[in-house]
Amino acid sequence: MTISAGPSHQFLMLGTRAAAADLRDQVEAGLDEGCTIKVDFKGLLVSQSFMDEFLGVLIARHGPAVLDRVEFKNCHDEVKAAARFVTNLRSREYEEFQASA
Amino acid sequence: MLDDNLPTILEVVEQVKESAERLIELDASAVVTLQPAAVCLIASAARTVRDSGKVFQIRQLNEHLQPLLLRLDPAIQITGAPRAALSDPKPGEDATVARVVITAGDANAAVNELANYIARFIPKEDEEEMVQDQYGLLIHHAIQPALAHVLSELVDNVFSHAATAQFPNPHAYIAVQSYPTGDLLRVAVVDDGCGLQASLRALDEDPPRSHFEAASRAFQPFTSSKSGRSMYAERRHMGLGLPVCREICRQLGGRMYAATGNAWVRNPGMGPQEDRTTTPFFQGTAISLELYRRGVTNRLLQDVLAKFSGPADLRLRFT
Repeated sequence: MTISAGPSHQFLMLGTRAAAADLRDQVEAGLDEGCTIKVDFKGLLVSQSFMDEFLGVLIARHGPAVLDRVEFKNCHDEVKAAARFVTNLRSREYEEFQASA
Repeated sequence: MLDDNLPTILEVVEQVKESAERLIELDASAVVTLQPAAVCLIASAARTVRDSGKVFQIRQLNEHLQPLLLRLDPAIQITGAPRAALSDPKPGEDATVARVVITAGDANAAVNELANYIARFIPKEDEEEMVQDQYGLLIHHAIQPALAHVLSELVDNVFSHAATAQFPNPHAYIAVQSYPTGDLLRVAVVDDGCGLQASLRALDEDPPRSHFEAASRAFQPFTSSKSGRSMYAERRHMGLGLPVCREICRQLGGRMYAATGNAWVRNPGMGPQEDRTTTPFFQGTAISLELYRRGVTNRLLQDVLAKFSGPADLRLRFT
């Protein structure tokens, strides 16, 4: 299943947490159906807050294993940087929590 | 009279808000220009005065400045001068654009609208060819995403951190100013929420004891009203919005200002920092930046995030 991250011809930047929550809801609905999700960031840039609310919360809820079922398409290097950054922090946080539980 | 000295503007605006008079009139006859922070602060004050049941009027505000304030608050009363049409500046004019964001759901659209609009005012000689790269990005100049990023973080902060039971519905007042010559951009985001100290009171172990401490700590990485250890992980924020904005500002050779409570800070966390006590007390948070277009690169966020991150996680799949 491929989901477009945003209305790419309307927005350059996906920057707010509210916008990220909408995308996350779509992805989680697809994951609940057992799909592997491709998220298409064509024509878009993101803020680190957006990526944290989208990807960071996915990892917080489902663990880093969720990354095995989510693919990122057409990501500008700036989007990749935000995704890597958030994944790094949130995965570490998740693993520390699991270790202490 | 109003000028670009933020503490002076704050004092005038707070006098308006705290006046015991039922009708408060601000004489703008000598005002030729308003910096973005001043525009936002006046609009914020107008709302506060109106919500308290008083009447606020601005007398003899020139026709170039009227649309700015009317964009931020259409209910503002302007007297002694013909009411100007609600319009935004056109390329070739001195460009200041302003918007108010009332709900989190409207924030992303407003931020993009402003960044795209300001991009139109970049002088022809500085404009990059309209770039459509392999990722489908269409931009006029790399300042466009940098500006959108800064605005996103600052506006998002209003709805994430400035609302409390006492201030349930903060507005985000935004203004951006581009000049016909040179490469300076001025940006301001002002809210009428709880302020930084009240916002950071949620820090479990060690809440800030003053507005200055709050203004300083808000710019420290991984500090957020939603970063407490007792908070459920998925609701925690990384606390990087203001530090990222500051790093963008630093990389673009600019300056940053923050005002909250009785604290006014220039260049928080980046030298030379200047602290000043403002009187009276300012309820809310005002963030103002000066950015220079020519320092921007196409890898701005990558370079900024590299200052806060460790080794990359290789588990992500990019196609």
